[in-house]
This record gives sequence, C-alpha cells and structure tokens, in this order.
Amino acid sequence: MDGSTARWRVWWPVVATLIVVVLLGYPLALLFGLPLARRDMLDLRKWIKETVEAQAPLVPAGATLHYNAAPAAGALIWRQALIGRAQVDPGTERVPVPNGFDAPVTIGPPFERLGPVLFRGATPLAADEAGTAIYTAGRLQMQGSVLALERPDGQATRYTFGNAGGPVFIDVRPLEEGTDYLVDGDVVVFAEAPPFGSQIRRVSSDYAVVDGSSGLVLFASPPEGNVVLAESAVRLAEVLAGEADGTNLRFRFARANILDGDGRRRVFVEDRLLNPVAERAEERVDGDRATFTFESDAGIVAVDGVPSTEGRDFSRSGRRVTFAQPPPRNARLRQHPDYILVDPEGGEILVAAAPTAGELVWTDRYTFYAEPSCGNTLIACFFALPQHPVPFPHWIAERVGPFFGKFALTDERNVVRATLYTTLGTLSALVLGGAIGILLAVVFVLLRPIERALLPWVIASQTVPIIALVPVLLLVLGNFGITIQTSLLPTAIIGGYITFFPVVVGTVKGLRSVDPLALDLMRSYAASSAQVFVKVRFPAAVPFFFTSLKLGTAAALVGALVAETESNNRRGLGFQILGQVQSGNVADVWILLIISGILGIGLVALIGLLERLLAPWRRRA
Amino acid sequence: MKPIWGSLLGGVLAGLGLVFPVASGSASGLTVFGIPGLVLVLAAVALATDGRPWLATILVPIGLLGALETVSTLEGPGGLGYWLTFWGFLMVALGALGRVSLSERSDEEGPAMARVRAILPPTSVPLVLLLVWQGLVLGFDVPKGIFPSLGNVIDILVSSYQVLVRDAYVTFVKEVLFGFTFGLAGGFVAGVAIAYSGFLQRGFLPLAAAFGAVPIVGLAPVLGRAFGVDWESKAVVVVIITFFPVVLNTVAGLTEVDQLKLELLRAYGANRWDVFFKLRLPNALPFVFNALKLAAVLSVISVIVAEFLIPGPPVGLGQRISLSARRGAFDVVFAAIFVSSLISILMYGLLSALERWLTGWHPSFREEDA
Repeated sequence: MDGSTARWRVWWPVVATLIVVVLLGYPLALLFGLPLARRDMLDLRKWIKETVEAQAPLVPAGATLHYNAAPAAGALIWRQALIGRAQVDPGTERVPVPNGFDAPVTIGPPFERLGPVLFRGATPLAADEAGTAIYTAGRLQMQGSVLALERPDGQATRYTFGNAGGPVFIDVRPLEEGTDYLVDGDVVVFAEAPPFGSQIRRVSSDYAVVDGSSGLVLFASPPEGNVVLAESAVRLAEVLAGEADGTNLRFRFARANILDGDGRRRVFVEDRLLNPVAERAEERVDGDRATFTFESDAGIVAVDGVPSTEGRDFSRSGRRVTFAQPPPRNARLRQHPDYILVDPEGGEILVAAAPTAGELVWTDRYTFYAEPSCGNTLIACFFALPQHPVPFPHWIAERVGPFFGKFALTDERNVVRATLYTTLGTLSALVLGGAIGILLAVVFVLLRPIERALLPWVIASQTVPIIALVPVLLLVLGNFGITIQTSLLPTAIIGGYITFFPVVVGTVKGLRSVDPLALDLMRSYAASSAQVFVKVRFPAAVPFFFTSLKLGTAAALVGALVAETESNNRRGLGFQILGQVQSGNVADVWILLIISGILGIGLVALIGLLERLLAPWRRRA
Repeated sequence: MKPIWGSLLGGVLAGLGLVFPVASGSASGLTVFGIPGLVLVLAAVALATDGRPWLATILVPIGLLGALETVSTLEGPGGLGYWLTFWGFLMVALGALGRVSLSERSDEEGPAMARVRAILPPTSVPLVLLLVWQGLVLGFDVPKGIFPSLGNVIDILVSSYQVLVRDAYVTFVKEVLFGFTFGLAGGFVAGVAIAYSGFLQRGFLPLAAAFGAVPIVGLAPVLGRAFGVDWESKAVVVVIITFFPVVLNTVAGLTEVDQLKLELLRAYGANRWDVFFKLRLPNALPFVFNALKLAAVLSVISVIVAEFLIPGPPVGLGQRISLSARRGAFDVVFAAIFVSSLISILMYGLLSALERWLTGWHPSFREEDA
C-alpha cells in the first residue's frame, strides 16, 4: 500500500504530462492543418468545375405543349426563349422559369430500348450540341455528362467525378455497373484500366449522348414512359447582368469565378454569337517593337489580359496597331475581336462594341468554379486533407492495429522485424563505436603526445556530417562487395563514427579520474602499469564509459535509420519511415517515430542494464 | 645521439624508390622526381642519423614536402618506385613526429622548442592524413566519380566558391542561426519554468529524454509538410535539435546549486530574484554552454540531413551534397562537406570564446590552464 502510493507519486507527473502532450496533438493538428486546408480551399485548381448549359426547363405547371406542330427547330425557338425573357437574377444559382411560359415542343420518333438505361434513337444525335432534346413522361430531359478529373494513363483504375451520379461510358462505349466498374461515391473503380487518352464520362444530368452517330443515349436512371426525341425545344439562357443602353460595354455572368480560357463559353448579343477566340499579333513582342499587325481591324487590344485604351495607349490604322509605349518583352499581346473576360473572379466581360439599347446579352454555356472539391467549410477541408502534418492523436491510435497487422511476421516489412533489424544495426554501431572509443581512449591516456596531436581532430571529425557521406560510403564499400543489403557493416560504420566520439571523451575522463590515493597504494605495492590499468583505471572508467555510450545511442540510432533509408532491401525502420512518407501515410510515420523514440529509450535502458551487470559495484540503493 | 630509426628507414626506402620505375614501364623515380627528390632523400637520411629533437622538427616538413613532391609529379597509376618513395617520405615525417612528441623533455631546451612541441604534432597529423588521401587516390588512379582526390576538391572550392558561399548562407544564416536562436531562447525559458516547478521536473524531464530520441529522419518530412519545403522547416529542425539539450542543461544548472551558497544568500536576506541572478544563473551558464556547443555541431549536421529529406529549392549545403552525390560529383560533395565542417568549427570556436568570456571564473578553466 505504502509502496504503491510512493510509486504513484513518482509516476503521476509523467502520466499527466504524457496526457497533456497527447492532448496537445489536437490543437497542433489544427494549427498545422488549417493553413493547409485554407490553401486547398482557396486554390482554384482544386475546385470542382461545373458547366452551365442552356437548360431545357422543367415544364412549369399550366404550360401548354404543342405536339407535331411548326415551327421547326432552330433560331426561332431560341428567339422565343429570349422573348420569354428568361431573366436571371445575378447571384442566384437557378434559372427561374417564368409562369405561364408557353413552350412548343416537336415530338420525333420513339427510341429503341436496349437496356434499363440504354436507348438508341433512329436519327444521328449531336453529342454536345444543344440541338438534341429528349422528351419523356411529360417533361423535357436535361443532357449532361462530366469528364473524369484524372486523365487516363492506361494504368490507373480509379477515377473521380465531380457532381455526377449516373452511369459511366468510355468514348462511345457504355459500361455496365457491377461488371465493368464499381462506384464508391465520387470515385469509380474500373475492372480494367481505361486506355490511355480515352474520354471517361459520367452522366451528370438526366441523360447523355454516348454515340451521336448511332444514336446511343444513356440515362442516369430508368426513365418512365416512352423516350422520344424532341425535335425542337424551348431553351432558356442566362441573360448577363448589365443594361444595354447603347454605351455600356461591361456585362456580368451570374456566377463568379468563371473559368478563364474556357473554350466552351458562349456569349450572344441577341442571336449573334460573340467570338471568344483572341488573335495573336503577327510580330514577336520583343520589348522594342511598338507596331503590331492583327488579323482583323477591330477589337479589344489587351496586354497580359489588361485591355488597352485606344487613343491613349495605342492608335489604330486598319489592322495595324501602334503603341505609345512598346509592350514589355514576351508580354501576352492579344486582340479580342468581340469581347474579353476582364475579371474571371467577378465574372465580368468587356464587349468590343456596345450593344444597342434594349438588346439582350446572354449566354447558354460556360464553365465556372462551383465549389472547392474539399468542401465548403474550412473544417470540411481540414478533414479532407490528404495528409495531415500532425494527425489527431486518436487517428494515430486507430492506425496502430492495422499497421502492426499489415504484414505477417514472415514478411521483411513487418514492423516488429523492422524494429529488430534497426536494433541490430544500432547495436552493431554501438559495439564498433564503443570498441574504437575505448581503444583510442587507452592510447590517449597512455601516450599523452598522441592525445595532443589527435584530440583536436577527433573533435573536428564530428563536424563532418557523416550522414551526408552515406551515399559515398555505400559506393566505396560496395566496391569491396560489402553492401547494406547483405551486411550490417555500413550501418555499423556510420553509427560507430558518431558514437565513438562521446566514448573517447568520456572514457579518457574516466581513466584519468582515478582516486590519487588508490594510485599511490598501487605504487606502494609495486604494481606494474598494466596492473594499474586493469585494477584501478578501468573500474574507474566504467561508469564514464557507459554514460557516454548512452549519449551516443540516439546518434547511433539516427545513423542506422539514415543508412536504412539509403538501402533498398526493404528492411529496417528507416526504410519504413521513408516508404510511409513517400506514400503519404502520416499517421503511420508518427507510429514509426514513436516506435523509434521508444527504441531509443529502450536501448539506453539496455546499456544501463549492461552496466549493472558488468559493473555491479556501481549499483546504488 | 641516437638516430631516429623510423625516419632513417623511411629515408632509405624513399631513396630506394628513386631507383625503381614510378609507374610500371615508365622511367625511374630519379628522372621523374628529379634533383629535388634526391636532395630531400639525402637530407632526410643525413638528419635522421643524428636524432637531436630540433633536427627532428626539420625532418617533419622535409618528409611532408617529399611526399607532396612525389604525389604531385605522379601521372597515372603508381608503380613500385612511387609507393616506396611516397611511404618512405611519410615514414620520415611520422618517425620525426614521434621523436618530437615522445622524447623526454630536456632541461636545455628553450621556450621556442616547447612551443614547437605543442604546435607541431596537431598541425602535421592532418597534413599526413590529407597526403595519404591524395597519395592513395592518385597512386591507385581512382576515377573522380568513385572517390575524388584532394586536388579535385580544392579545385571545386576555388572554382565554385560563389555557389558554396551562397549555399552556406542559406544553410547557416537562414536555417541554423535562426533555429539556433529560437531553440536557445525557447529552451532556456522552458528550462527556467521546469526548474521552478517540481511537477514539471518530475513529469517533463523523463519525457524530454524520449522526445530527444525521436529521430530527425522521420520528423523532417513531417515538418516539411507542416512548414513548407523552403528554409523554414529546416530552421524548425534546428529549433528542436537545440531545444532539448538546452532545457535539460538549464534545469540541471539551475537546480544543482551548492546548498552552502544558497544558505549564505538566504542568511543575507536575498530574495528570489537575487538568488536567481546571483547564484542560479551563473551556476547554469557553464551547463548551458556545454549544451550549446553540443547543439551547434549537431544542428549543422541535422540541418544537412533535413535538407536531404526535405528536398526544396536547390540551395543549401545539404541539397548541394545530395544533388551532387546523386549525379556522382563527389568532389562537390566533399567540398560542401568541408564548408559545413568549417561552419561547425567556427560556431564551436565562437561559442567556446564566448563561454570563456562569460564564464571565465569557472573552475573548469582553471584546471585547463594548470
């Protein structure tokens, strides 16, 4: 009872501190993780991209549909959509459909059913053009599919899709879920790696045209009723914000963060499609030249994306443009014949010629950054981080079981075996370093001049980063047929080089720290110098030797670990750490770090035990 | 006078070497090494037969010069003549060195001789080692890609010193100095806190040893992820490397004070601050300096390892070493290692000087002077 209380009194501060350290892992994880999460969240490259297409609307209640009636498909329908004033409130996500909207639809021949979601139409269908509309069960269906985020390299079988939940098809070949691929949330795992350069798409809306020439259509879910082709359909468009009053040149998309350089973007003024392609100057921008020739004789001239003002920045004569100040060397000089996206973040365009008052500026297709792929909140992004520099402590704890069980004991990659291998390497380093240390210490004590000559260089030797020399050392030893794959010698040399230094210093001190009385006594017994060494100096040096060996242990362990990272024999903790770092399993790295720390303490304890065995006279109460 | 047998034998061997061909099939040593070689051999033999200590001090440079001459005139792999002359001259130097340092101190020798005795051995031993390196690499004609000669390394030091200075600036000023300062400050503050708290002493100190044992090899990549791959993460490595020894030694220094002195101060009615500034802090300084000297050397090594493990922008000595080793430019590797050693030695020396200045009163310095 009394003993256990006393023991508890010694241990509880350690336990309490340990608990605090573990709990500190949580704020630390947030401290290090949140900036990374923030970076991920703000990085537009990691956002989910969404394409707004001219949408075939759900037919609102009370709308009338005229079957098999003129007008034919084409411009008229568009115009009707515009006349319907499908207005967009800037900033809102949905296109509101006006009530009582009268939308004519022409119904074509029905589709042939090939499977639950696979249909074939009679006529060729346009795969991406808005000209195709499918009508079933009283409503127009929306067409849409997304590409996989990853590009197929011919080897990977896992692909991610943003905002799509339908079936998958590769190029013009529809796939069967369950046999060809499996779905795991946003991730699709293929049974067979899709070929390099193929297009992997997934249905994101109601249906997608898989193969336009044979009329193959894939539905997201089995449609109700007959599937028929709507030969003409009402399409709504987003009207860009900004009043066309005859002078206004600036208009804005409803959604911010428009993808710059999006080749699919389409902007119309009434029914005239604006040309999104910029012209390059015929001449090189070399920093001296001020006059450039473009393909057309009108448009917005922009240097590095910033529009220049005619009259102030440049003057124009036909296709030739002369700058007041030559544009800097290698600047991106372009002429945008119709319009330029001046502010991708705000979604603002600048039009070359002001639309006349009352004209509509609208779009039916563009791509924008919808949301960060990691989530909408910082916390969500934190949890979605692929690698946490400091994982939550309980994540580490959860990994311990699987980590230890990952490889069988017979496998070299088993953690227990790796630890043993590293222990062996460290011990051999300690033996080598200890032996050399003792040898040098004895020589130093016996021959003072040699100490004077060598000691400064023993100290200097420790400033040489031996660990940096590991590759060189391995190469040199490899020439003699000694490789780290087969021998512990390289590890021993590297660790020993670090260990011998404290041993020399400590043992010399120990050998000299002899009680003068004992020396006098030995002298009076006429003892030889060998006897003095064995009977007085060595026993006096033992505690010093072990203390310095303990000092060298951590260094020897680091040496062994570094040597292991340089080898490729898949053995040892060093190799494991490197492997887990490379594969990004930070929790496993932390487990390995903790194991290494415990191993370090264990080795020090082992040396302490050895000391008690070899020098029992030092045993204290 | 008794001759210096080692040097005598060396001189004879070196002379013999002059007869044999330097390389297999080439001319004899006499024609390659020429008159200077012969003169050096004759001087060595003559001086070695009369073994007075001051003559021995002349023999050391003669031996070193001879070996240097042999190495520098060699072209291609060495033959019997080369090896005999080379090792012979080194034996001349080593034998004389032995005589200088081991001979009994005689009464008639002046203070100049005593100074030579103190300086000659430590300065000439590294020269011997460097000569052995150069001699072996040139003698066996080891290709540069496997092991560089001293000459290659010196060439790099001269020709690309600007690159190395820039690397050293990144490694030393940005990473080591920054981390060292923060590790020292943090470690000292933590040490004071622990020294004044019994709870932390019992709870934290045993764990500090465990934290110290966590290898930098594993920590570095994690830090690289947390702090970015630029110099900041490597500075943090130095902070950690410096922090723990400083904590442990500060605590030891602040707590292991002489009870008598403590009682004396109490008797004078000293308050806590007086005890801290007049007794505990001065007592802790030698401990802290010990830790700092250890951490200085260790942090340079660790920062290089960290640069190995966190490949960032290709500047810094560690990056230089790692990149050069990968493409087999070992002369650059050794040059960078030389620079990093120089930095460590300078740091160590500066700290020692500072220690001597600040804690010159400490008994350990008295013993050294005696």
